[in-house]
Amino acid sequence: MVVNFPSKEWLIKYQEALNGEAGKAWQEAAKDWEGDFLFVIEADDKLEKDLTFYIDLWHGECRRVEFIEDPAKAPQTEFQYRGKYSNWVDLIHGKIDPIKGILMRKFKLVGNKAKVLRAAKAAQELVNTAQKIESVFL
Amino acid sequence: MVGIRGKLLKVNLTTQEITTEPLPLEIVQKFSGGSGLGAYLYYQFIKNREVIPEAFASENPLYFLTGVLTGLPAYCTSRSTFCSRSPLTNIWGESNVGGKIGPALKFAGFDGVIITGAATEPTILVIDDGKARLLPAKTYWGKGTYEVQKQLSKDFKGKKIEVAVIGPAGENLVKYACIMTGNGRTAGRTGLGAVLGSKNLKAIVIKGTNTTFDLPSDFKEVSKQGLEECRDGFSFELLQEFGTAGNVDVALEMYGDMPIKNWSEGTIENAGDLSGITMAETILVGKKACYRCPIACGREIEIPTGPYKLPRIDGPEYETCASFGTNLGITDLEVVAYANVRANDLGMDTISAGETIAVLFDLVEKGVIPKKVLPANCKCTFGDDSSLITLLEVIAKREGIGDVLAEGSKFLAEKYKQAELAAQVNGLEAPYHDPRAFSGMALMYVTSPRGACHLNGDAYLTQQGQYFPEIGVEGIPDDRFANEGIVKALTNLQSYRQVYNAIGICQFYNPTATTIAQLLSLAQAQKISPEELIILGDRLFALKRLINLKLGWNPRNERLPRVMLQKLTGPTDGHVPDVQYQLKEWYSYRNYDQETGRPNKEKLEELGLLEIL
Repeated sequence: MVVNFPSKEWLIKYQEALNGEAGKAWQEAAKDWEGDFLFVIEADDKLEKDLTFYIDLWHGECRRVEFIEDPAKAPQTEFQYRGKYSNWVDLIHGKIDPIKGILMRKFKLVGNKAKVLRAAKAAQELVNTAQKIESVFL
Repeated sequence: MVGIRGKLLKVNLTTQEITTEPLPLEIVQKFSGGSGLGAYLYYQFIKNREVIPEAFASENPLYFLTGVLTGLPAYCTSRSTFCSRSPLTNIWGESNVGGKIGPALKFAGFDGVIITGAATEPTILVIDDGKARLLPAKTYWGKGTYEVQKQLSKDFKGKKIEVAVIGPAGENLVKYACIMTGNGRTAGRTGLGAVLGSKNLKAIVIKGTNTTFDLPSDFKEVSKQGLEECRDGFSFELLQEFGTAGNVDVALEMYGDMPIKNWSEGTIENAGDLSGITMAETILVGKKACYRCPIACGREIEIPTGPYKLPRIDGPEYETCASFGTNLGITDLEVVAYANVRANDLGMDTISAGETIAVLFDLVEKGVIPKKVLPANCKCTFGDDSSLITLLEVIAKREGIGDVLAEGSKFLAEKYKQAELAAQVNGLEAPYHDPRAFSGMALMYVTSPRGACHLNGDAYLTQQGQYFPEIGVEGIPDDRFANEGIVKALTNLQSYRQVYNAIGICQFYNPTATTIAQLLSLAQAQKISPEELIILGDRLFALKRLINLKLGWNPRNERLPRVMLQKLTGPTDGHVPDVQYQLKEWYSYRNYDQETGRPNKEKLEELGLLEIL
């Protein structure tokens, strides 16, 4: 099923993908990972307002997701990865990788950078799994 | 109002004569300082000679040169360069160093030192605020670089000195001997420590106290603006926090950029143990900065107990974590840290030493080298920690197999008829950024004026998105394995880094090219645009190419050995760069003749080089 990005439906599909067959490589790479994220999709000329995905990742499992429309209601998390909508689209399309995105200043990472660098492969597999979702972009 | 002193010190070690000569501003404006000025001076030296002196001939000059920005009140202006004919490659040799030695030379009143001749006895050159003298160095000869630095500090009691020193490897003419300076900073590449050794010059001691320069009032403002442009960048932050080895996890896990077991495997278990993050969690006790550096990527470590016990001392960088770590199949950070200190003390380049040992391990594992030639109790196979330490010692002393290893990886591999096993170009061992991970590193390695080198073009960062749009370093394909569409941007990068190596600024400090052009304009009283930086870089690159042609280099050398072109599993996923494709485009863009390797006449004219030929 094709789903719109970004949307609550997309996020649910993403959780299913991470926990299912499509996420096998991620599950292996993230088997030691403990930590939750806010993925903040910032408004740009295509997206009207900021949207936030809450994603709780724990030992190769995506335990919980939440689609947050009001940034004020976003919970405190260990990490935040934020960038403009168009950059998220480039990331999902594989035009940039999660680390290159930070180096190019297209994304900002808030949180313990060492922990994320250590999990570079898992970060890449998060993106690879997102690519497996049939998505429609704005 | 300029940032240079306008004076070069000339030291003839044979006659013991010390003189000075003026350095005209026009020369600096055309060729800059550092390796650019070195290339100009060396070209003047060789251009009318029928026979050009070999690297260890006493007539072969060695230049120690500051850049226009070295020591000025701007950020990261620590760099200076040693240049000469390289004993390892027999072509142009240059080696850039940070720390404080370059600024000290300028504070002592000189832009550079030209060293010729050879002393009959071990000697030290002392440069002391505008004056210079030679002293006997018998008491220092044979000693390690750390001990000599300590001893010199004691002997020059009360004086704040900076020291460049060679170790036993330099004395014994190990072809990749380095020159160590304070703060653990090294002019590591191309074996120029051995050139000093051939001249019996153990150390250069500098005391310089005049830190003032007659610069325009807005110089400091432009410098501040430069810091603002890059201080919140991720790589800046990463270097601050974890040093260059902070890159290890990403390089290995995500990109496959860090070679494993002589460039032959795609993954290795537990390599994260070598990262700057592990270092920070375990043996790190402090950080060190070069002159006016807000990054402080230098690491200080301590290993209080165990077989690799170390006092508080310099920690390994990314390159050494690869050379003594992954490329040898070793993932114990304490071993790598210890080997790094031994190599520094013995005075040899860790990149070349590591690759040479990797070739030995490879030859042993392939059964090519008879075990009887190996040092006692050394297995010399991948992962063998103790052999690494022993081999460093025998190389420095040229004992047994060490005498062969002291000639470098190319010599070793050719001796055993396995030339394609040595990861080198023109005899210089490749640094540890794999062209299979970032295709553009292939072009940078094969065309670099000094042999395989990452400071003549850090394509691996450009292909991760480090762009300089004002000078055309941008817009390359997102695919890091691409061969098409990368050459123009990377050729501009190559020229830009020529400028960096000449002006005395660190490549980890990357404000916009506009800011660099402004700083240089103010420091050398000449309006320079960002585009003109590339013309300057093109000029220096072409001049070094002309030098190499005179030294016998030819374009057949522009290739990667097979060991670097094997298809690997892991993050590089079987990709290999198309070197020939990249080269063809590069020759066309540079306007050089691919048959001869020579810049075309109109190119030389455009660069203003015809008049000096």
